[in-house]
Amino acid sequence: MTAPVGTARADLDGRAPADCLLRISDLTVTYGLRSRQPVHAVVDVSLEVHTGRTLALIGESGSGKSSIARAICGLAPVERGTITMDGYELTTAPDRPVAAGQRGIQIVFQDPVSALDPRWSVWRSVAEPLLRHVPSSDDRRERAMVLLERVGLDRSFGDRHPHQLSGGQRQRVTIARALAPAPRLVILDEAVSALDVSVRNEILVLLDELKREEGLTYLLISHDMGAVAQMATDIAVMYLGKVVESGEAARVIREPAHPYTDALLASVPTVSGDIVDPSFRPRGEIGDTAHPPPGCRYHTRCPLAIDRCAAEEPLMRPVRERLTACHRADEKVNA
Amino acid sequence: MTAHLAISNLRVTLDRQGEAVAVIDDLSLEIQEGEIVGMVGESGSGKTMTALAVLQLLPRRAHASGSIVLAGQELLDLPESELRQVRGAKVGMVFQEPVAALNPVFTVGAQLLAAINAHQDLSRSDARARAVELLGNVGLPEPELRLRQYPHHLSGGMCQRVMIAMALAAGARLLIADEPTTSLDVTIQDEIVRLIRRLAVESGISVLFISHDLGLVSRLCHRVAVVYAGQVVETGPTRTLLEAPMHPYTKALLRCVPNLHEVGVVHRGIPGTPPLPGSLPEGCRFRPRCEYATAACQAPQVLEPRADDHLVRCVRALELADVGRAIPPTPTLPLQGGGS
Repeated sequence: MTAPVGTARADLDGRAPADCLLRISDLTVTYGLRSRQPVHAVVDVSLEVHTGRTLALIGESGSGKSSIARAICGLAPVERGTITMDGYELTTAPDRPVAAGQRGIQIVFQDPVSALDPRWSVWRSVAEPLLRHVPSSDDRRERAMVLLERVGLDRSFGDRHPHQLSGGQRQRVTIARALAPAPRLVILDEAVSALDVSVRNEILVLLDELKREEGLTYLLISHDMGAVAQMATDIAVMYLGKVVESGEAARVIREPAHPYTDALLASVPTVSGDIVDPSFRPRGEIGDTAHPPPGCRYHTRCPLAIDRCAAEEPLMRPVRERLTACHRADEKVNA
Repeated sequence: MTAHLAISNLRVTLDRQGEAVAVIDDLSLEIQEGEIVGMVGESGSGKTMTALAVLQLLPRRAHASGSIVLAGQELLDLPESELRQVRGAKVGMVFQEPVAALNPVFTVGAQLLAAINAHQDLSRSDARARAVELLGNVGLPEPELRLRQYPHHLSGGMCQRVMIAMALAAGARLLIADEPTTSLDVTIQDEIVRLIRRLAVESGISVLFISHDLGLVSRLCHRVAVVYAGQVVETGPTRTLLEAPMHPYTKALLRCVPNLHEVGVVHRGIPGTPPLPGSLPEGCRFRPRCEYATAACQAPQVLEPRADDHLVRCVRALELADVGRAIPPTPTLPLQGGGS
């Protein structure tokens, strides 16, 4: 087994892996393993999430970022590889979703409407994770009310129902519920993508506050580069089930090494002037995960592709203080 | 010059238990031939209602007054029979969910041909040729194959291209795009935006582009109208709004646009929520959320020209012109080691 590569810190700074909270090694997620056409949504991915940091997984739909989130929570089939939370192996646990919860992992999903039971009052939804641990209903209710205040909603929200809440308020409720079991790692799976820009930033401010005050670590899964630039300390860029670049957020955003990272950044609608050359725009759309192209998976869309890219798969290697999988990363010099 | 679409003093009320509640109030907007105008605001600000009013597709309990003139024709008092000649033939509309907007049990070709045949009398082979041409025009590879495929064979971005082709199938000269890229990946969003821009430039159609994302709108539109609680609060050329925004709401929206030069800085959104129709605050409707509100803001605000081709609905517009400038000068920040 190769050494885990991922958030570049452990490999490049020589820092001891002691502060590594979640480690994913050579993870392959396969849907329909016994079918005639198994789909490898994630292939040999290694990542580390360090305590107190925010690792953002970015990439288009079909890049495998949500499959990683689901695999961590025990909701996606792991063909091989390991996922360890604080040294505890999650993939071999008898009940993977329960094990993830017990080890302090919680997840917030994109759509707060379907994430809440419409028949339940808000406080009951928030207190649901406490059912096994807090026997008294009054105590659970009180805990839920405190959590609601923690996410910026006053106690009167506790007795309302989801349909009486706006999208931003609903997302605050799902965040409160994720905080109920006092997690250490919170996975934010497109948690702000469905919200209006103005509301989205308010939720980001809340998440940032909670991270500092509760000592949380985030795995942020998003195609929204605005949110990523604001929140992430580290970034891993995924394309068709593979990590193609990973490193410190500021480095990856300011001087991307992989042409796909360039392409993602070039597509962000900013008003502060283009940060990258628009010639890095990709051609066409993301390929089919079931039939990935040979060699570098991005070569079919890459404006820099040469013959070697179609023949030989690039491996993750250190380039300009981050890791990237591109044959031409050394030639490509950013201004 | 007369505008291709001129909305003047549009007021849309919804009947709520016998009471008329205004969701759009005194909204005016002009789109010239070949011009792309962006309409920006939060959910519930009346953007979609405006689009539906142009097409006269408002809900049954809604009532529109004012004036909507399209190519010299007043739309608000047209009978239903004549409106059918407007929808599709003169105005095409693209909605947010391309996959949901297509019927899953019919092929792309069947749906596109229906749109073509609704307004034009073409032979089978001519209609088919037109369909292939339209799909090629919106950048779909292998248009012949796409016609035989079902919507589930296509990606979200491809479906949205099909919707745009359908919207323009009958030769509409005005395209209304209501959040057409919200459910799409950024890379695909960028392609759709550039497609709309190319169509407008090449064939001179007018576009009303509705979005909550000022960054996106600024990539595409010649002019921008910022709407809040059913009113236009600021409008002008895109560059003016980006470089010299005057209304505090526009400034706040600009702060929410991603800024890739500032990594690791979390920007505040806009605290609070937009007022609900029927329970509007006195005076300026943005006042309860505005960081610059004073006593003068308790009076109703008027949309007034504050600079050349720049209208603002804020009594403090001029004194706030230089406050909280939205676009910081492009910094050349050194890379910082670690953020912890």
